[in-house]
Amino acid sequence: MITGNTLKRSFLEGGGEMGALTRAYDWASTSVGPVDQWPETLKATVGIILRSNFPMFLWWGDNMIQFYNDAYRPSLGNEGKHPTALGQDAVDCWPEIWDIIYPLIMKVKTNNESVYFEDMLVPIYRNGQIEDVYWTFSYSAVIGETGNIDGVLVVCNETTETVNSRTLIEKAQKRIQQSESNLRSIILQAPVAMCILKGSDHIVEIANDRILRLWGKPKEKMIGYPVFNELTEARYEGFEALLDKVLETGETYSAYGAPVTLYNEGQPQLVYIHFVYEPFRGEDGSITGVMVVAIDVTLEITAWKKLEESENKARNLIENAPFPMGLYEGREMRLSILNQSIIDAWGKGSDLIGKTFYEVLPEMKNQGVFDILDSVFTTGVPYHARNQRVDIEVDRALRQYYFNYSYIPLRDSTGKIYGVLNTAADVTDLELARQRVERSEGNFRNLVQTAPVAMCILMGPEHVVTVASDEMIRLWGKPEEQVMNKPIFMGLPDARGQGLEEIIKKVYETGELFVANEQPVDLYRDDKVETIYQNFVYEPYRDPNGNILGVTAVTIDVTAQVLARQKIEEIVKERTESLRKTNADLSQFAYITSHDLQEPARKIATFTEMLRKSLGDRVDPRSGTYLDKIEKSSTRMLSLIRDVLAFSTISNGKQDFEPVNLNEIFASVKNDHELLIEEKQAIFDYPELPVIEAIPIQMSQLFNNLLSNSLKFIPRDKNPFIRVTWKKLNEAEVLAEGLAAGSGHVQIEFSDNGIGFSIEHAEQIFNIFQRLHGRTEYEGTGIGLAICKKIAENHHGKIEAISAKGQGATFRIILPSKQTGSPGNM
Amino acid sequence: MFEKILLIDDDEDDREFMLEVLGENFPHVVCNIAVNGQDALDQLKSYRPDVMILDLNMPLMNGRQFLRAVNKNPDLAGIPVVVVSTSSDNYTIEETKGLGAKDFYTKPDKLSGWKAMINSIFKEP
Repeated sequence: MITGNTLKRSFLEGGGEMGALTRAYDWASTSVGPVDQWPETLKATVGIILRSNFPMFLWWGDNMIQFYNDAYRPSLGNEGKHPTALGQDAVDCWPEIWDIIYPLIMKVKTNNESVYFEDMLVPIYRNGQIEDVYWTFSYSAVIGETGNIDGVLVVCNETTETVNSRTLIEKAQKRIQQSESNLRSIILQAPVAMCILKGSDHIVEIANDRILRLWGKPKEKMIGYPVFNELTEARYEGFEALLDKVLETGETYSAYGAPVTLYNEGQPQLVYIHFVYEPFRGEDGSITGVMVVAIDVTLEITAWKKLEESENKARNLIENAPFPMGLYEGREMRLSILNQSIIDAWGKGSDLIGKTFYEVLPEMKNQGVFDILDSVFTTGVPYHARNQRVDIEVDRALRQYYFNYSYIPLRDSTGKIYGVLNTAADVTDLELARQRVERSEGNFRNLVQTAPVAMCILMGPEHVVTVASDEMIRLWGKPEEQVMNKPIFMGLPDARGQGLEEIIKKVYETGELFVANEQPVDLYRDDKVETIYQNFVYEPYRDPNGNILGVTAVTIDVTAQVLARQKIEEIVKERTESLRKTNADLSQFAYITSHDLQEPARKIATFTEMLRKSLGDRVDPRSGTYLDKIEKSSTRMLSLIRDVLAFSTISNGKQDFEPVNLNEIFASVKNDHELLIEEKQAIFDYPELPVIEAIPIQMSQLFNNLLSNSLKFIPRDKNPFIRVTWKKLNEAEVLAEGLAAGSGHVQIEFSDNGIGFSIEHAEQIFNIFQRLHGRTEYEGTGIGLAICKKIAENHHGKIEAISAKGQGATFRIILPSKQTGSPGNM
Repeated sequence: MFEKILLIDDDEDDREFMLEVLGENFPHVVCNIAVNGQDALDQLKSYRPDVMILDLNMPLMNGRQFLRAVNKNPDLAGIPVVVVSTSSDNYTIEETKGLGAKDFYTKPDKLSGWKAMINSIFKEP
């Protein structure tokens, strides 16, 4: 039996857990009946099911008793239909899905159709709950020995996991699709420029209008093409390399305010953009492209750059300003830019930037400065101060300064005040100087007012009398209130039209000092016009910078002096005239006297001669001596008379200058002395002499007298040696001689080897009738050299003698070679 | 050689000196005397000298006036006039020469001077 059983039961062998369960199951209690009564078809089918590794299930009989194998077992879950499902009626087992499976079962049982489903959702109860379970299954008929469809074989595979994962994938795909669609939409509608560039060629997959506008290219030229096809400039500006890097590394790249050259309608245009290159990943996470987000910030950057530039400019301006300058920002007046000058002016150290004005200069509070600053910041009205006293604490002590300063509100591009620009000039020195000047000006005015001379200050172009000394008021002869603080010619109308307006105007305008002496001014005083004479000085009155403010006038009334001098001059003129007349009379007297004296003298001489002649031999020796004495006396008398006559006629003005060749004159004079020269064997040494303008006869007289002297004053045992030299004098030499230069003076020296004279007599010898020697020793009238002197002076020249006793005499004659006036005394 | 002279001089002494020298040295010479210019003009109506010797300072008509009168009279223009005067200043010399005087001499103070002067006057053509 065993063997038989063994053999008989062999279709139930194996099959794992389900095989064991199936063998152990009390089939007799079911409609299938005990195993040994089973139809062959059932046995065979169950055997296949149990031993199959493919999930299989069998409904048998009208009650659709269930069989299944191990492979099917997991589909029933842990806590559910297993193991009760074995041997159970189908309807009892699958109430939850009976609606679904019954029609299918019926299709197989009634129509012998095989039913096949893939991934069909058949939710079943397992694991303590209804689970959505997907199945791929086929229902097929098991045809019994009777030819009836006795069972339905279910070959199935639970595809829940596959389906679930596929669903997940599909959902994911949907989501991706959705998000891509969203992305496109986001990109297209983004308020910033956006595009996606795909692949290493950076092909434009999508680009919104903004980026197209930024590119300045039509959509059709960009979409689907490598982006740099058109944007050639940008490629070389490094953008391609940046994109490549993002593709390669997957790192986001962002830049702010990057300059990029784009062509807009063929014109290169520099634009500034903020942009982000974001790696764009495919579904598998690999980088497939780059998403570009860009914002055109050209306007902002340009504005910013301008601002920066202007700020730099402002900074430069401030920092390089040669005077204190600072920029304070915000209502709190935060020091943002300060130049060295303002730092020095404050003396608060150098580390001030970032602090507030109020912190750095607290001492300004009580001086009203804080309020002013705040007011400027609030109202936008600039504040300017001149020579403002500002006390700054330096080394814990308040020091007094003076500043010219301005607080100027600074506005940003929207017109909002953001700070205050402070410019200042330390005018402390100037102000102190001004105060000193003011004080000294006060002193000066005081000085003017109390000056013992007439002084006044005329201010401005109107010459307003601002200060005048009492003396000046007295000189003007007007009540003080009539002249003070009025233009001078308004208070003193009678001074008009006498040239004073022009003089004062000129001093005021040119700054040139004007000095006048004894200027006559007609003033209406005490009901009558009086001419007063003034010495006055008009001097520009200047401020410390040298600007002319007015004119100071210092006047000295010299009327009394002038009148006295005029009187004296009148008297002198009268006296001079009278003297001249006396001189002329004297000259005339000398002429007439000498002329008239000549006749008797001449006649005495001639008659004496005739007497001697007529007496003949009858003249005894004693009478002869008397006759000799008469002749000598009369001859001498004649000489005297003629010399006096000559002397008196030298400057009678009846002769004119003419060119005189001194060679001819000298030759003629020599000729006149021929006999004496021969007798004394005189020797001459002289050069060619010049031609000068002179009176010929007087030149003859001059040389005659000199030569005659030289021949006369020589010891008897000596031969005269006479030397004449001459030279031109330069102007300095002429001036040194006390003569007027400019007429080409010549100096002639006439020297001899005669007896000479003592130097103390050098001037005396030119006096008329002056004799140094006894008449018996050397003949002469004593008039000769006086005549020479008078001739020299008549020619506007001079003569002088140089000698030492026994050394010979030298006469130095200086004469102009050109005469400008008429003959006369110097 | 002059043979007829008109000596016009108011000074008797000077006329004597002149005549003394003439008589001694030029005995053939005829010398008429006029005591002033007017006198000379009167005499000249009937007497024509070879030369006139003229003093300047004279009463009635002085030497200058006489010279002017001679200049106005074409009949007398051909007779040379020599001025002999006490004066010796250039102005007078130039003045009289300007009035037509042929020569000018200062009255000498010696007989030899008179002789030399007459010689000189006569030497003139």
